Amino acid sequence: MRATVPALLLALAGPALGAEAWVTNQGDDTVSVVDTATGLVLRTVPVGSKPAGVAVSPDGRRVYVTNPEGHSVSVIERAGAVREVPAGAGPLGVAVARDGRVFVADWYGATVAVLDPAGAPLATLHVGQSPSGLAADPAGTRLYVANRESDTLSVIDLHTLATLATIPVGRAPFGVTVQGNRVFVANVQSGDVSVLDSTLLHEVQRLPVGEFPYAVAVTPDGGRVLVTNQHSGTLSVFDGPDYRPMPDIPVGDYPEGIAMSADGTRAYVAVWMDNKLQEIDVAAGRVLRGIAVGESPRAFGTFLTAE
Amino acid sequence: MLQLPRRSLMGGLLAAVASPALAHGPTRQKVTQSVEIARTPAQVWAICGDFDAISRWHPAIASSPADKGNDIGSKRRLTLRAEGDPSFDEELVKHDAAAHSYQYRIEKVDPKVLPVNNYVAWFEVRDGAAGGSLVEWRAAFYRGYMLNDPPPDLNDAASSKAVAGVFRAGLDNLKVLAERA
Repeated sequence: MRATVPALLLALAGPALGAEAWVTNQGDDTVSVVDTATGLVLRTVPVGSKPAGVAVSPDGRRVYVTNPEGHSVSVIERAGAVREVPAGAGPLGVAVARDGRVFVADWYGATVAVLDPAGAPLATLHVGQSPSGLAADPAGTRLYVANRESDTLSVIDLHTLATLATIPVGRAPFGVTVQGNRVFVANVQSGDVSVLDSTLLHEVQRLPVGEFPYAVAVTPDGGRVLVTNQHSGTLSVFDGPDYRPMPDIPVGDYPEGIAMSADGTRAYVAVWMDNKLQEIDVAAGRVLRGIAVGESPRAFGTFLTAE
Repeated sequence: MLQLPRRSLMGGLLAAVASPALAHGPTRQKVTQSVEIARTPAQVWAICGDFDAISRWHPAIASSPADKGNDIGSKRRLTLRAEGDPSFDEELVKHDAAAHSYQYRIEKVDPKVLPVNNYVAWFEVRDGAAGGSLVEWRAAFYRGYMLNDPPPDLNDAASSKAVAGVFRAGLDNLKVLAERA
């Protein structure tokens, strides 16, 4: 167990001691900001209507939250200010490139909006049907888009904004995660994860997981892969370069967004039905603690700050 | 008595216009209903634990035969006590007799019968107060209309109200049946 938090720190409700988890609560139109070191909710930030997607900017200065029913994105300065900007009919997935540009999938529009860091529109990308999960690679060269109703992954060149490839994956791809030269896509309907080689631009392996997989988190060394299974209430776990299946981790009903700590020792899972953020010991494959957050947490995206 | 959703012809036309390609709208709904019963969990589970038993305790369901009993993947066909004998299938996802719980989903249902999409539900009998039971019925689903700007009878509130009504009617009747036994 962790050390007790000094009362003074609690009273101050000051800055986080560890990385912050920014958890979108779709049921009460807020974001819970959790200090992962202490497990305390530092504050609750009101955002737009029915927030779902979230992305922390690589420089850590801003957090972007999609509001599907507000048809908007909340641009949140970590320091405090929140602004809401319009963003298409059904904004869902969101990602921030290394240069600070923001990408927002429009579920109804078969498009991805490109915004500047302040939220002003720059361009519109045409992708497949019902784009959902987005991932920008850390090198700042590519954006990956899961097209849920087209069963494909769009690969976008971040310099030219051209589509480099449209790659068939499993049925109903949703969450996308990039790690090194691998891209992981959770296929909701086929109950598996597509592993793609980002150099070769094709699928190299298909990992069977639980029922209705949603999102994927990977350790920085690529050695361990965790997948949330919405209907199974578990995480599927894979180990090593050949993705050897490990025992499932039960986490509660309807797990959704998942993120990995920078050192790869902890994963954080939003459990929608139970209104909890579960902290996972990645090496041991078990839940360390549950942190109460807002109503119906989704945390779909890169919701952890670096530190 | 259970109120099945009533729909206008215009509502039916609007529903037909909704693209079947869209798997769901933007916001998943959550409904939880529960009831305290003055019988042990084992006694309550004996009435409602089998997947095909629901027609024996839910007042709105006339029959519910399941093709594979309590095995995962078993499908029960619910036929409702309503005009035209509407029916739909529910599929068993998990069944844990020791934990007194099961989980099921609906692959497809006419929104005129139940205005939901991507529906999954959990049914559980737990220890309640003073040696009794707490029966909890929970569901996750999307509203009956997949696109933006739903008609009033297929919006989030109407869909949640319909599911809550189904759960409430079943749980209240289960309590009456169990406590009478």
